[in-house]
Amino acid sequence: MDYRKLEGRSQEDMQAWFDGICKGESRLLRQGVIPRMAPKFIGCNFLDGTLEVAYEALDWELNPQNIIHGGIISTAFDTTMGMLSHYYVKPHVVTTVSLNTTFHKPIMMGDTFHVKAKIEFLGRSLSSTTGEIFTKEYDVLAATATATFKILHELQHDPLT
Amino acid sequence: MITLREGVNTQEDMEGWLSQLGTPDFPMSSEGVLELLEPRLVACQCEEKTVTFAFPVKEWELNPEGGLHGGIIVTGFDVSFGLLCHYFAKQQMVTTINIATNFLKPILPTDEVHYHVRIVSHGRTIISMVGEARLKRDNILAATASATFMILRKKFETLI
Repeated sequence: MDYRKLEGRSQEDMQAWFDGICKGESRLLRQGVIPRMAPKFIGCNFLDGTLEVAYEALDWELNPQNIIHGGIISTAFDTTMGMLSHYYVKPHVVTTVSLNTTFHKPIMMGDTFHVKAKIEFLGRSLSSTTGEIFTKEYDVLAATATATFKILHELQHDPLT
Repeated sequence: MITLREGVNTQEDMEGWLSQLGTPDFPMSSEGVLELLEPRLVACQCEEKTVTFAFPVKEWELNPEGGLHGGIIVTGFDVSFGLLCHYFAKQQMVTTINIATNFLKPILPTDEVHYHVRIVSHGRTIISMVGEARLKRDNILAATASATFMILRKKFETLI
């Protein structure tokens, strides 16, 4: 499936959708772990299939060695790559099938880390994505990931916005 | 408090150290994400280098669809792998290099998740592990994972 030719999707639509779900009273931010991580939409590119979201490293996310816990970094990847996949297939729901994270550099409390996600392939039932996390104004590549999402038959008619 | 000592790897010592999870003075779980997750020891086998922890599912851990967020499942694995590594690395710090997780079944807000993790290989600097997340409900296999950790030269400033 060529995600660049999906009906009703465009750069403007994509930008407006991510703007909407990353602020205020959106369903994305109503409950659970995502509002605790306070994602901030930075940008997206419809034709490239990319999304960038920034997160602040917060004190509740620390591990016993006082750096951001690897599981929280994986949560940021899963959230961002999942949101990106969901945009292209909505109103279908996606669920994570696999997530593989490699950690390169520690993320310290107070750092802002940017997750850049990309759709590598969008099929009828699976979406393959890759992700990178940068800190220090994009100077440091802190982690990379690959994830596969299954596109469910189930429809979500209560949009994330 | 029981602290980790070089060369001491016994069933009694391992159980004693890991049983301190959740107690106020235990530095592994007294702050940060472990304090919020509230894991507890179910069982461990020192000789086999395995451990099982139970994690309750909490409201703050859910995804927008109301299930346990995949990233939090990875966090449960990472915590379990990390604690197992810490026991055998003693006072040396460890770090996750890679963690790969496969998600098999959804986890509900009412579930309790048991993470069973095992060291497959323990080298001088690299530890390889595998794990399973099973639900207390009907022992359903909900996720599997493998991970690689590195033992750092740096030691904890305060004994753990």
